[in-house]
Amino acid sequence: MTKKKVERVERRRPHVGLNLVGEAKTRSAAASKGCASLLSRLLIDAAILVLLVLGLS
Amino acid sequence: MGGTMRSGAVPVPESAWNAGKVLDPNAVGQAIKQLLARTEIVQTHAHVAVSDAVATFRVLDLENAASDQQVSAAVAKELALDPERFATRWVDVGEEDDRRTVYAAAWDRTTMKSISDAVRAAGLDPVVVELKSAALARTVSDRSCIVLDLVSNPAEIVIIDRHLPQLWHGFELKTPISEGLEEALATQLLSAIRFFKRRRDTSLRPTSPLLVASEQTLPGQLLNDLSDLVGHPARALAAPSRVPASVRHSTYLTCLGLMMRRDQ
Repeated sequence: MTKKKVERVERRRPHVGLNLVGEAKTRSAAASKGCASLLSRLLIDAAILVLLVLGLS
Repeated sequence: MGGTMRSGAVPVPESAWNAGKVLDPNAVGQAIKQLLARTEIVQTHAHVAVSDAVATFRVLDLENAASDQQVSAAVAKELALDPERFATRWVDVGEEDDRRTVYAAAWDRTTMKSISDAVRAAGLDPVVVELKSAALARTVSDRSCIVLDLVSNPAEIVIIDRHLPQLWHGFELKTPISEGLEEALATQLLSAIRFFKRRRDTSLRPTSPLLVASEQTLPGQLLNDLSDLVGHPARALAAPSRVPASVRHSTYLTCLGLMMRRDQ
């Protein structure tokens, strides 16, 4: 019950997913894919945290 | 965030980069390679955030009925740059109140190629590259806020409205905490806020917080003074949910934002 509530809130939130090196996604493309769940995103076994030290961090 | 999380940072030779631009891809690549070895990271797919200094972005609100062609035309009008030199791309970011909201970015192709070359020189495949402000916007829960990032050099201000990055401003911070830092920061913040509020339909209100990311704990008095000077309640930026306590969230805020992309 709690999980579903969390996912609904996340879907409503606008999300910038522009990839400067990937394919551009228009509304129709994004709609066909749907939204990944919050939990699936968080199940990352390991993360490459690469800081280019370009004023990032 | 589940699983093992490794983090690390490494400086690159000053001659290899400047103001967010990679001048020597091989030198930067070698630095990243050493960082990967030191942190024992073996993955080869890299998500990369680049400084907003190397690109420009806009959030456009259009009629919900606007076609893709009309969106492209509006983006081209807003980001009127030489297509030979600059790449432009846009993406839908949501629909609200019968409006179609689009995020568009434009960047110098040569600058971006140097960054990609640096990542590849480290033996990595840059599968995602995005602006730092986009990653940062995911890490805050407030709908509208001002993020002051004192970890970066130069320091950065990102105004987030309706959960979207709206404005980026970078500035050199040479004033130590003990010598009138509040005034120096307030000058930059007020300049950015005034510029942003010239737009119509912003949701940024006096109650919208000023979130400060810093590697060191900021004195409470400094936050209070900033609140008074800027007119927004200032507080230290909290860690995004599910981030292990062992990870310095201010230091790796951008990386955490990259991990929160929906296309993971």
